[in-house]
Amino acid sequence: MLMGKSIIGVMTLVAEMGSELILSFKGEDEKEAAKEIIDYFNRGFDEM
Amino acid sequence: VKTFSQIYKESSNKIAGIAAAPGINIARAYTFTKEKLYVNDGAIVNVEEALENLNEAIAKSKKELHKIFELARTTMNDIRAAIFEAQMMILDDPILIDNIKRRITEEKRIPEYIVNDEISIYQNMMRSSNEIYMKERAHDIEDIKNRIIRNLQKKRWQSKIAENVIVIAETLSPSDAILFSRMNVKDLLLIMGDLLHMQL
Repeated sequence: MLMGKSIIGVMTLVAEMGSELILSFKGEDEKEAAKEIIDYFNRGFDEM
Repeated sequence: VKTFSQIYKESSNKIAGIAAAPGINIARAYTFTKEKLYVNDGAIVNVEEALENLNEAIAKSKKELHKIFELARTTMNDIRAAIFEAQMMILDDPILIDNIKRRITEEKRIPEYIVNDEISIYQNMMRSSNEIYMKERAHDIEDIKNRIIRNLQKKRWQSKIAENVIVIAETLSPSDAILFSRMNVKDLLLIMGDLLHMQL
């Protein structure tokens, strides 16, 4: 478990290509946030 | 700067091969060695003052990085400049900064020791990765770690060097490279070049 707001935590997650991740969203704009992140994954992190 | 073909024509001692650089630069060498940062350890009595010093050092580091980021955006593209934006985000990292503050309060040790220790934990995690990409990120974080520590020690980094020289360095942090790009540096020779993908 790590908080997505922590950039250093996300970096050290060492989520290499092919890793499986479970994301959960909590907060006022959780629906919008989830949609954004799903889009971002589907877009290949804008790197593809 | 003479081109290779010019040099080749004029030369009496010819070696055939493929040139990896567009030409040859001849200038005075300037060895750049970064002032070594010594991290002190010691007990503190006044926790509040220590936390205040930490906040000041973080604010100062942010200001410096902001300047470098703006400079980077004018000298290179936005994607490359984004490294400095990521460094600024690390200064705003709630988990990292809260951990550092909590440890200062609990362990009553000087901030520079805690900053060094806490960030090094993450660096070691990155270095133990099998991915070269991850190992390189540990190097990026070194830059920000040293910046905070230096600001805690209220020191300044050298940011001016002689002009028209070829800089020889073991390795350069992205922010060093940006500062050099502002000056009239002829060329750059890195001993550990693989760690840094950056051009002036």
